[in-house]
Amino acid sequence: MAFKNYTLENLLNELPEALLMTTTQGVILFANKALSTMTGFALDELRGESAVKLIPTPERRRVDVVTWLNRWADYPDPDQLRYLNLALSTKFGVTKLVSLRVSKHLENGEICFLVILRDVTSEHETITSLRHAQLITNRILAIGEDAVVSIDEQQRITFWNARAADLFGYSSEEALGQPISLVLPDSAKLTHGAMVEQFARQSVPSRMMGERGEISGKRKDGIIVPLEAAITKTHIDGQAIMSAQVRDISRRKSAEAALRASEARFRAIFEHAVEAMAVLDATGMVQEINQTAREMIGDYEPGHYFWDLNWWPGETDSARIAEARTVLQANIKRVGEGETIRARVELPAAEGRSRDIDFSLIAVFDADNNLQYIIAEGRDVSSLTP
Amino acid sequence: MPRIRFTESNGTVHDVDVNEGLTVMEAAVTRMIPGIEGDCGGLCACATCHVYIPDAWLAKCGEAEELETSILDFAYDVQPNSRLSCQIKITQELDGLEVQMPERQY
Repeated sequence: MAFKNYTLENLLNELPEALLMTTTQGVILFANKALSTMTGFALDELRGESAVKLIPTPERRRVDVVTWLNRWADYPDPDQLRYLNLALSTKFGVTKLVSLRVSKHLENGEICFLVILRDVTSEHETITSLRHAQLITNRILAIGEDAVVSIDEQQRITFWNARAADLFGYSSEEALGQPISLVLPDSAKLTHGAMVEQFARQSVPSRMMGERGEISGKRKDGIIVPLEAAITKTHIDGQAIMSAQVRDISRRKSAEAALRASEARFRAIFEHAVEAMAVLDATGMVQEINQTAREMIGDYEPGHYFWDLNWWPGETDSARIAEARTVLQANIKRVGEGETIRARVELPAAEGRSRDIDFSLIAVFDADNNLQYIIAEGRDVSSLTP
Repeated sequence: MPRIRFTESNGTVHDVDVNEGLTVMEAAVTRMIPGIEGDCGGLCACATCHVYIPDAWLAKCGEAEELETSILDFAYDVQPNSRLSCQIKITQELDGLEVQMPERQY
C-alpha cells in the first residue's frame, strides 16, 4: 500500500515505536522502519504477507494473532493488552516477546488495523527472575522455625507466614489487613503502637524487641505466649514496613524454670550438707564450696586453687603447711588422671586441738572421657574416734 | 475449611486448608505454591494461573465462561480439562479438590 500523503509515511518511519498496518484478515499493508529494525524484515518482505509470518502460533499453544487483532480492535481491554504478550519471530529466528496496541482505521475506504508493537522481552525476563527469587525467599520464610510478620505504617498486617499462622492461630486470610493489635495482649495494646512509631524513627535498622522487658503475644484462643522477636524496617516509597521474626519461647521458659528448680534443689543439698564439699575444675580451681567447708577455712574468696585455701588454721609451722599443700596438689593431679583418693587426715585446728577428717577426692568425666570436675569431700569424724 | 491438593508438574504435592470465598489461584499464591503465577491478580487477563482439573471435579468447579476459554489461547499445553484457577471460587463443596499445574505458565 502507498500512502497518498508521503509526509505521513515519512512520519511513521520516523516513529520510535514499531508499527504495522494490516487488513482485518491480517494481511500486512505497511510496516515502519522501527518494525524492520525489530524484526529484521524489510517492508517489501512483509507487504502482502500474513501477520502470522511475524507472530506464528507457538508450539503447544493455540493463540492466533489475527483472531486477537480483531478482538482487540473491537474491544481494546487494557488489562489483556497489558498482561497478554505474543511471541514474535524475527527474520533470524530469534523469538521476542511483544505487547500490542490495536486500533481500527479507514484507509482508502477499507477498514484496517494499526498495530503498535513493543518489545517486552527483557522486561519480562527481569520480572520473571524477580518473581522466582521472591518465590524462593518466600518459601524459605514459609518453612522457617520463626513466625514472620510485617506491618505497614498504619500498623496493619501485610505479611504473615505459615509459622505465624501456627503460632497465633490465625490463617493468613484472617490476619492480612488486620491491625497488629489482633495478636497483642491487652497489657501491650496501649504501648505497642508508640514503640513501633519510635522504632520507625530511630536510626537503627534492626534490633531485638522488648529490650526493656519480656514480650508476649495473644493467640486466637486467648492464650498469652511469651515471645522473642527481632525487628527490622524497610522504607519503600517513603513508607516504613516493619517486619518481625517472632519465636514462641514457652518451652524455653519452662525449661529455664525447671533448671532453676533443679539448681535450687542442688543448692539446698549442697549448702546444708554435714560434709564439707567443694567442686573443682580440671585445674583444681574451686568452682563451688559449701557452708561447712567455708566454716573450716574461715574467710573464703573465689578464685583460688583448692590447695591454696587455709585448710590448716591451727598449724603454725609454715614449712609443714607448704609440704601439706604440695601433697594435696599432687593428689588432685592423680585424681585428675583417674584415681580415686580416700584418706583419713588429721588437721591441726585452733587452740592446739586437731580434727580427724575422712577425706575423699573423686573425678567426674564427661561422655568423651574429658575431666570435668573434681569433687572434694571431707567429714569431721573426730567425735567418732574412740 | 476446604482442603485443596496442588500437584506441581514435577509431582510435588502441596495440601493446603483454604478459607471459602478465595479463588484457587489466590490460595496457591498466598501459600507460595510454585507453578501458579497469577500475574494479573485475578482479572482473567493473563493466563498465568492455568491448571488441570481431574474430570471428577470439573463439573463441581462450574462452567468456564467465554472470556476464560478465549484467554486460555495464550496458555501452554491446553487440554479439555484446562481451567484458569482465578475463575474457580472455593466452596465447601470443593473440599478435597485436586489441582494439577502445567509444565509452565509463560
